[in-house]
Parts: sequence; structure tokens; C-alpha cells
Amino acid sequence: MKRTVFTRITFRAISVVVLIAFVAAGAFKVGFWMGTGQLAAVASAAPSQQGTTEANVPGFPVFWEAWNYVEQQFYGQVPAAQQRVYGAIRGMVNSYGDQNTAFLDPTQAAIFQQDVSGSFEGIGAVVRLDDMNRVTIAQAYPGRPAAAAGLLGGDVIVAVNGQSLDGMSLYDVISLIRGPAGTRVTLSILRQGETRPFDVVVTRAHIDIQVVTSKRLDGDIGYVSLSEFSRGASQKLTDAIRGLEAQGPLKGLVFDLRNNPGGLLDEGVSVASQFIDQGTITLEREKGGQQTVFNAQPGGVALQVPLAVLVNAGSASASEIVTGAIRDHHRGELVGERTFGKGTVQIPHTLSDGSELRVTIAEWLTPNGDEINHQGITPDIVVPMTQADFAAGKDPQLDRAVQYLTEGK
Amino acid sequence: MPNRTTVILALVAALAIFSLGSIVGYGSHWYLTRDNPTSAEIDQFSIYWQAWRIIEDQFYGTIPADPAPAYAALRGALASLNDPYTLFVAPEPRALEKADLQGEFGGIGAYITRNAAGDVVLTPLVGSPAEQAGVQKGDVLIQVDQTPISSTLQTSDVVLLIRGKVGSQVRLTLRRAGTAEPVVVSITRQVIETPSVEWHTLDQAPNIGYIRIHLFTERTNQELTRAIQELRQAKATSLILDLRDDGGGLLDAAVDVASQFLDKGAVLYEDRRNAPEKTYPVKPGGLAQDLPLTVLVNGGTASASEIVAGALQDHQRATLIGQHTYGKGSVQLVYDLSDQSSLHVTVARWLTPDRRQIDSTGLTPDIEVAVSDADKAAGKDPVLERAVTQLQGQ
Repeated sequence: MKRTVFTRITFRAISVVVLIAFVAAGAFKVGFWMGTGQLAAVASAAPSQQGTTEANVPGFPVFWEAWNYVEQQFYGQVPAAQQRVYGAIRGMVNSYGDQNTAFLDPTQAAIFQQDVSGSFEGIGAVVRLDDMNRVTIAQAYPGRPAAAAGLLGGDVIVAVNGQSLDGMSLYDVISLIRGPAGTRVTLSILRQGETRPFDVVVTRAHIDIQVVTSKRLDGDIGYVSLSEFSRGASQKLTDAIRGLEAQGPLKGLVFDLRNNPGGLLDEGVSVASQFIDQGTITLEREKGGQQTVFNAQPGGVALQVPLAVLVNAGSASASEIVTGAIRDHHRGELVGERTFGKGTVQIPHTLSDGSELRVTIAEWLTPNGDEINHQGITPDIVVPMTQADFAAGKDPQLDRAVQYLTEGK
Repeated sequence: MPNRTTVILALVAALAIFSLGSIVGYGSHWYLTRDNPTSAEIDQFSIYWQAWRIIEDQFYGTIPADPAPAYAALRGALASLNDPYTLFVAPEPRALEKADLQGEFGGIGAYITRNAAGDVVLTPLVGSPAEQAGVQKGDVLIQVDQTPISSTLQTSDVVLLIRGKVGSQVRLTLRRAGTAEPVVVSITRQVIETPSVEWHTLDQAPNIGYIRIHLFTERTNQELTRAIQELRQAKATSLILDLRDDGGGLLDAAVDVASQFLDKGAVLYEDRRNAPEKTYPVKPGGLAQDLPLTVLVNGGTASASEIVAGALQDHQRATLIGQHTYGKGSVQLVYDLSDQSSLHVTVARWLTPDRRQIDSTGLTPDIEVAVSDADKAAGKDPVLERAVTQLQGQ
């Protein structure tokens, strides 16, 4: 009797235990899958987000390996993930060796949007990279904070607010120099003739660039200058030329593009079209070989007047498009010094968080098919201009241009 | 047929076990995926891939071959830490050429240090190819063959540029104080045995032993042992330990060196993240515990040298003479990554025996002595002279 009861209980006990064990194991396993996220993966059958992109890029797994050591071991503050991503993009982009392809974080992007409008807050100077890749002052606008503080064209900037500029793109440097009106910035300057760098403190101001200036010179020679190809530049130029002609017919026109760093491509084409009535202004060539031709637009206001164009090492990009077109169409004489040599076109791309990536997407060529990148355009009449000339208020380049227009040579 | 209570109990039990399973699953997922980015990190990183794709599609120019962009990205990310000592070293290109190597590697025989501006400064060894070719102490290296040297180029990369096959030539472009134009020298590489310690008794005071340590290597303590023995044999009764312009080296070597002069206590404490403070005690058996000692320091005395100087100062074992030291109080570990590149990470700060933290502040000498340009031009060493006076007065 006992044995039967024992057997029955045992059997039942065993079967219950086994049942519980199965259920328990099943529940545990399902729970485990939930915890590890595999359940979701199984349900959706979606590929891993970490995905094929990273796995296929040589060197990338090492990025995360390295970053994990930092996260786990670094003695110091590990900045927010966003800083790391921005740093990574900057590093990657700066490694391409193209100064004009750059990453701008959302703050920097906002600063450079201002450029297109022609007014910003800063020190009132144009900076560029010289042929040794140093940040140099191309021009300190007269009457603006930089010039008032004693900065001169040719000054090399080695540090901003004590920070070395090594490894920074030109955009990064400009972002450091710009700032709200009334605030101060310290530039460490290396100047030719001085043995050691010295500091210059500049108080920033609201800067409105006078995009176009114009005046009438002796002998009915007109003079117009254009400082940048910002939005509306061509219209302002047209108005200025018309304004000069309203005072009486012009026997010649000096068009000053010195220290004009460029700007919008379509403004460049429009400006060139004031002087050239038909034909190609420039040819754009993209990766992959596609070409786009930009022809002269009708309605130019200075198609006939004898023309001299002033250029120097600060004349870049759109300035060179205009200069190259005038040269190749034999529309005018070039006077001054060899231009900068920026023959590429950039497009800004806005990324999903508001940052901007400016990428060089094309090279542009003159109407004759010349590539001017790194070469620049050498004027027909070469006239140097020294710091001494500038300090004495002389302008030998302008004088020579006027001489050409009055004497025909 | 089980009754209702049993069924309910069974369900509750199943639910409990399910929850336990999820917790364990979640925990192990966290543990297992610590090495993989989380979804949040991947989302943040998506703009990197947006940028990368735009460039791949449109960039008019040559994209550097992989893995250069990934390495550049890593360097850029590490730059956000603002720590010049946490850095990435790409796999040594020459290591990959092992199969083709014939002959030995040589160098030019010069110490490389960096000054506060990030310049690479050379100090040629006496009799070295560098010295024979005209390299002078203090020359700043601005170019090796065609490669310009910037302040961001890492010292390991500079060394790789300079070293090469024995018998081959390397052209160095140097900037020299007092010379307007850069100086160019052409050097034939040779096998260089670089001792890290030099020593002699002083001509002006033959009972003072002078020891100079250039760098803390695996051989330093062994060389120092020999130095102390030979100087004792030469009847030295006091010592000058010159650590000027010694940029550091191995921490263990620093502990061994300090232990030559101390009998007990700590040489340094190490403060690591996520770990208790570690003590590095004085090792017994130091050979120069009894000799009066002065230590010479300057702005180039850094890291391991500051460990030694700081320990000797805090134990009041030696007088520090000269100028304020560099101020590098951090410790780096080197991690090897899966593609033979390596990552140097700042993992700890070290503290002197009195628990002073010297990072960026440096050590203040007990007796400050400056060296003027006129002294240097005349070949005078007022710091050494002051040390001699100090020891002779005791």
C-alpha cells in the first residue's frame, strides 16, 4: 500500500517538477531574449543598425576599440558624445588636404551664413592662407577695428586668445576671431621685420562691408571696386556704373577686384556679364567628368567702355572667374599682381543636426579651358605694391591702370 | 488535473522566472555589448556617416586611401579630450615591411625633446653622426627630407622619419637661434647605442660625483648602479644628479632610480580612475643612501624625472637647484589595437610622497638659479656652480 502511494506521489511530483522546469526554462529564455534585445530583432528581422557601413570601412572597428578604452580608463573628463563626433568628422575632413572642404558645427555654420549677407560681427579684416599655409591678414579694412589696432596686410596670425592654430581649418580660425560686437580678441602676430611674435588686442564691432565703391577720376575715367561677391553684389555694381555714367560718358573704367576673396558663383557670372555680352564665362567640371557651361547673360551695362581690371594675391575664386573671362575674351587689360589661384567650387550640405559640410565638388575653368587652381592668373601688366606705398598713401597699381586707359598702353 | 490555485501559482512562478530571465538577459547584454556602441551612440554618430557619404559621392579631389580617414577621424575624436598625451599611433609602416628588411636600422645619435611651443628640439650626442654633420644643441627640427615637422606630429612619427637603414642619408632642416636662414644638414645613419646615463667626477671639485640622466629606459638603473660604484671608487663623497631636460620615460625606472637614494617610505602614489590608490614603495638596497645629494632641474625636467625629484624633495633627501620643472603628473598606458596600431591613454595621475599633485604646476626648486643667454654664450653653468657651492658648504 505504502509503495503505491509513494509511487503515485513520486510520479506526480516528478511530472510537476518537470513541467515547472520546462515552463521555468521557457520563461527564463524568453525573458533573456527580451533583455538582450534579440526578441525584437527576431520579430522584425531588421539588420543590425551598426551595419554593413562600418564593418566595410577599413580602420573603423579600431575607432570603437580605441574609444572604449578611453571611456573605461581615461583619467579626466570625457566630453559629450557630440564633441567626439564633431572631432571625428573634422579629423576625417581635414585629412583630405583641401582647405575648402570643411565641417562646420551648427554654431560655426551660423557664423558663415553671415558671410553671404555681407555684414557680420568681427574685426573687419580678410584672412587667407598664404603659400606656406599660414593664416595671414589679406587686408585690414580702413577704419575698422583690425586696422585701428595696427594690423597690416601680410601679418601672420600664429595664435588667437593664446590658442595655437595648428590642426585648424581656416573656418575654425575665423570662428575664433569672430564674435559679438564689443568683445575683445587677442591675436598673436608674426610680422616681417620683427624677430618675435607680439600680441594685438582688437575690440570687435559690427562690420558692414561696403560692397561697392565708385568715383570719377580725372580725364573721365571711372573707378569701381567690388569687395566680395555676396548676394546682390552684381546689382550694386551695375547701379554704381550707371551712376558714374549719369555724370557724363566715361572714356575708361577701372574695375578693382584686389583683395576680393570671392563668394557666390552666380554673382560672379552676373558681374562678368556686365562687361562681356556673349560667350562662355566659365566651365564647371565635376567629379565623374560632367561639365556645366555658364554663358554671359544679356543686358550688361559696360560692354564697350575701355576696361582695366586691378587684381592681386587676395583676388580669389569668383574674382578669378571674372578676371579669367575678361582676359580670354580680350575685353580688358589686367593690372597688378598674380591672383590667388582658387579654381574650385564648393557646395554647403546641411547635416541632420544643423552642422554643415562644405565640399569641393568641382573645378572651374576659364573660357579658354585654363585650370587656374594653385596657379592663379598673371596680369598682362605686373605692378607690385609694397607696405611702404600703402603707408605713404600711394597706389602705383591704380596709377598704372589709369595710365593704360589714357595712353592705350 | 491541477486546481485553480495551482494554475495561478504556476503562472505567477512563470512570470517571476521570466522577469529574472530578462534581468539576467539585460545584464549580460550590457556586459557583452560594452565593446559595441549603443543605439544612442550610433544615432549620434550617424552624421559622421552622412558626411562620409557626401564626400564619397561628390568630393572633387583625391580621397586618401583607407584606413587613413578612419585614423584621422579617431585622432580628431581624441583631440576633443584636450589631453596632448592621449593619442593614437598608426601601425608602424616599417613593421609591415619586415620581410623585405636587410641590414639594421640606424639613427643619427641625438636626443629628441619637445619644448612648450611643441617644437622638436635636438641634442646631439658627443661624437654622433648628428654632431659631426653640424647639428647643434637646441636646434629646432622643421623638416626631415621632404616632410615638414609640425607641433601636432607625434614624437614617435618624428623618430620614424629620422631612423632608417644604416648607411642611408637623411636631410634635416633646422632652425637655429641667431641664424636667419634655416640650416640644412645631411647625415649618414649609423647604429647608435644610446646610453641614458653619463657620469664623471668634477674637475673643479674631484670629490663630487656628477651624474646626468637623459631618459628613463630599461637600462637606466643598471647604468646608474655602475655610475655610483665607479664614482665611489673615485673617492666621490657627494653627488650631483642632473635631471635637466630629461623628458621622462618608464615609471618603474624612476622608482628604481629614486630607491638608490632613499631607505624607506613611498616614491609615489598613483591615483587611477575606478581603482584604489596605489603606492610605489622605495625598493631596498639603494647604493647611495648616505651621500649628500643635490638635484639639478629645469623646465625640461618632466614626468619620470619629476617623480624622482619630487620624491627626493619630499623626503628632504636632496636640495633641488635650478628652475621650475615642466609639470607632467599624468601616467599613460599603451593599448595595442587589433590592427597593430596603438592607443596611448592617460589613465592616472601620480602624487609625490607628500601627496602633492604636480600636473601643470611642476616642482619648485629649493634654490632658484636662472641661466641667462650671456651665460649660455660663455659656456657657463651657474646652476651646476651653485650645486657645487651647496655641497662644499655641507
